[in-house]
Amino acid sequence: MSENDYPMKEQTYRTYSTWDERRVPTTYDIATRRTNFDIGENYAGEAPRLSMSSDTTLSQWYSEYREGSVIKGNPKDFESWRDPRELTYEKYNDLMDEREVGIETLYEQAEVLERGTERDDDPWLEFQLEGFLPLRYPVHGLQMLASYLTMVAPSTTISTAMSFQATDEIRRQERLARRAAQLEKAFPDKGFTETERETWENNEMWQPLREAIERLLVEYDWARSFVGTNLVLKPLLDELVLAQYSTLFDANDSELYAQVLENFYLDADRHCEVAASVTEHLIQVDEENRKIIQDIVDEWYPICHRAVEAFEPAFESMPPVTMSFEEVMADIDSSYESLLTAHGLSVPS
Amino acid sequence: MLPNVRREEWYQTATNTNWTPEYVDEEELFPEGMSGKEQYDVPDDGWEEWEETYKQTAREYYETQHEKDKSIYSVSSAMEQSDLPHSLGMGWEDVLKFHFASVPLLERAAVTSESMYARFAPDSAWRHMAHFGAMDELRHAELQLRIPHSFVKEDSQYDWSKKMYHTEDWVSVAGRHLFDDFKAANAIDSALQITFAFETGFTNMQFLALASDAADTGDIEFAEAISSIQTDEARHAQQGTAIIEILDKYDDLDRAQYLIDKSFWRCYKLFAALTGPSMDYYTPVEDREMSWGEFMEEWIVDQFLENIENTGLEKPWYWDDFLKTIRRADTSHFMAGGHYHWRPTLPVATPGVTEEDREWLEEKYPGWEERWGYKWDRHAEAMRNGNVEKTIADDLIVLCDLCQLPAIDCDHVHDHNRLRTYEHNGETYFFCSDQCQWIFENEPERYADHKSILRRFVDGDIEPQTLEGALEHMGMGEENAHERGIDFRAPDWGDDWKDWNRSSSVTGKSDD
Repeated sequence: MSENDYPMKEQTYRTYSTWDERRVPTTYDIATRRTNFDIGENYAGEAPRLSMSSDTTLSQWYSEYREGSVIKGNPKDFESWRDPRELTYEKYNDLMDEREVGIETLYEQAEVLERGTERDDDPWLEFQLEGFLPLRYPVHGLQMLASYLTMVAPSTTISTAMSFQATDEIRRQERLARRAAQLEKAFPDKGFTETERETWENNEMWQPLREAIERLLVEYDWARSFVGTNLVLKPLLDELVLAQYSTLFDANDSELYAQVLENFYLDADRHCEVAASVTEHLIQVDEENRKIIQDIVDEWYPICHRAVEAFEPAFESMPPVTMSFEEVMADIDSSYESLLTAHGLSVPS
Repeated sequence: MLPNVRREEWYQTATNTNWTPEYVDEEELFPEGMSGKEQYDVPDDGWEEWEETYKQTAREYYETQHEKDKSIYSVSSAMEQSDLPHSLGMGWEDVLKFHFASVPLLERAAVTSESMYARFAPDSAWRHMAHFGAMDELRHAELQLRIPHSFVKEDSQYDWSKKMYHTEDWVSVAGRHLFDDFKAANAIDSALQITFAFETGFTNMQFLALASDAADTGDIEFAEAISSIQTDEARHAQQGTAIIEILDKYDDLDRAQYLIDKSFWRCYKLFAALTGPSMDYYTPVEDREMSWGEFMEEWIVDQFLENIENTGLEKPWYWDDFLKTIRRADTSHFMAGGHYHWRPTLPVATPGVTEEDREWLEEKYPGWEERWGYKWDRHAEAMRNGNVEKTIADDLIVLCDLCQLPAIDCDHVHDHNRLRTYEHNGETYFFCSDQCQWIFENEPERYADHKSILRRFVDGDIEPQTLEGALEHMGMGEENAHERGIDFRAPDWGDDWKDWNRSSSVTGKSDD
């Protein structure tokens, strides 16, 4: 072989050779697909593909909770799931920057219009202190859940979507803290920023949610964690604390924050879309997965539904203007039912 | 309207979200193997003092990262119509090929590690920060896969940007062994190694020093991209310092010291094997300002020492020896020769050295001619005589059972050409250095099962037991033969040396 021929410049490729589909890969595919080298088998046919002893915690963890998951499928099956919105890091930040600017614009407008956008009577302040702002704790739990799924997902596509979800949860967590700090500044000595942890840990209304979050956090099988979080808890909880709370804030003359909650709901909508799309994909990979997913839903639904049901006082007795909790739950239940039935799943009776 | 609040008035409220679990056990929620608290003497609430300086919020993150990406990708799209990087020459392309083959998927592996901290680290403020670290790493993987993707149409070696770590090429084996070692550890141990040793220690080298070479060469896209990456690294690398501050407070630095001594050495070895040759041999000589050795002294030694001195840590135990090693950079010169000699195993076009190269190398590394010149003379002679094949290895060499790089690296001063061996459970293991042997001996069970490529060969895991079989194993088989490394200057460069009169003082040690 004469080395002057530069064979690498003679025989070239149209895209990365790791791409194995017939269609032309998009930027999302190029940036995301097959980027985790510890998924799959090593040269000797052993999984996970880690260089350290198989006795290390991570190796055993993967074997049990990733490769050993209850869900059926192989790495190629999982990798072929695509985010329906094809979110790359670049697109995601672009989108979220816009969304946060949206919130700032709401505040600026309110300031210009000098609108009374905040109600400040005691019952309303107390509702926020006890019925709303402790939410930053479970939202931190939701971030931990999404971060866990980022590390343990059996494909880089699922992992990447979960990483964006974790950032969305942090965005909420921060906005909630900011609001608590604003309220503390406006109404010192009420306990804002100081008492929410105590409420989260002891107030009866929050305990079923705390139980659901804590139990999900130790649900380590990736598929069980994913289904429990994204297909059970979040669709129910986000509907409650974002959609229904938005209406509640609006009813209590807090139109501005009602819109902020709607802004968060746009993220929740994407999380739900990811849940639905991954579910659909897993069932396509193996029809047996439908039953497996249904079993996980059946297992997590009671505890997660109980978490949401516990919020009755937040609608019926705490705020100055109340809402019928029966109607709130009917709305939540009906959107949850449509989510499940669209995928041939059913809500446990 | 509610009053406005500045970030410092709410940031801690946002990030202090630890709570005591009630429905599950603490040990189940933060298992020891993932969290690592039991390895350290810090009381549980001690970790709640964890604090770093950047305190970036999601709002700021979206804005700055969006701006950064916008500026990088607009440079990229402006470059699409240009002939870059191909017009910059094969030497510079080697730098790019090496970088893209070895970096982006390691960045993606760091997403796993950062996400592990974001779930299992013992404090909520740390978990919060770690998640932004995961996002940063996602950005770096994406950016460094998108840029070279547009080059595969011109040159198939860029295909390795995505492929490398899915193969068993020796660079992949060495890179994964290092990163898996840092990753397969509890959150505290792992973050000390990745964010302190690797990121505060070495990413400057890969992203700033190389960016400076790129700017000199005229590769604006690459220079912009990697210096932008370093701005993220500088931020999330602060996790390590924040951990060390807490350990220092509780007078509990022994384990951290061990992990940093170990991981700093491991990083040095890998960078010496990959980045050293890129800087000293592949970057076109007219665009080289500082040598790898000078960069090491300025960017690594000085800065790392400063970082160490700001904490209660000590210099690594091998520091004095290490300083002598990096001044001569013999590991890196040896590796450059190795890249050349074993070039079919690499997806880069490693060139023979020119006269200007040698003058530059001798100037930067006094004594280079004496130690390394004769090897290149031999290659040049073979080239002149039309024996290109003689410049290419037809054998395998002994590999270190820790770093997976050659176990003899010809550092005469430090006796590195003495093979170190160690018996464990009836098996003999080989090491390139006292440091690698020390790391292995500390935790033999962790490392003993891993087979170096040589060990696989000897054990018959590689079939057929020939060099072709080894190339096939490494992902460079017949089907990928066009991706194998070649000498892009061959055979003409051999003529440069026709009248080369080597000084009689040259010893020409026969150590290979």
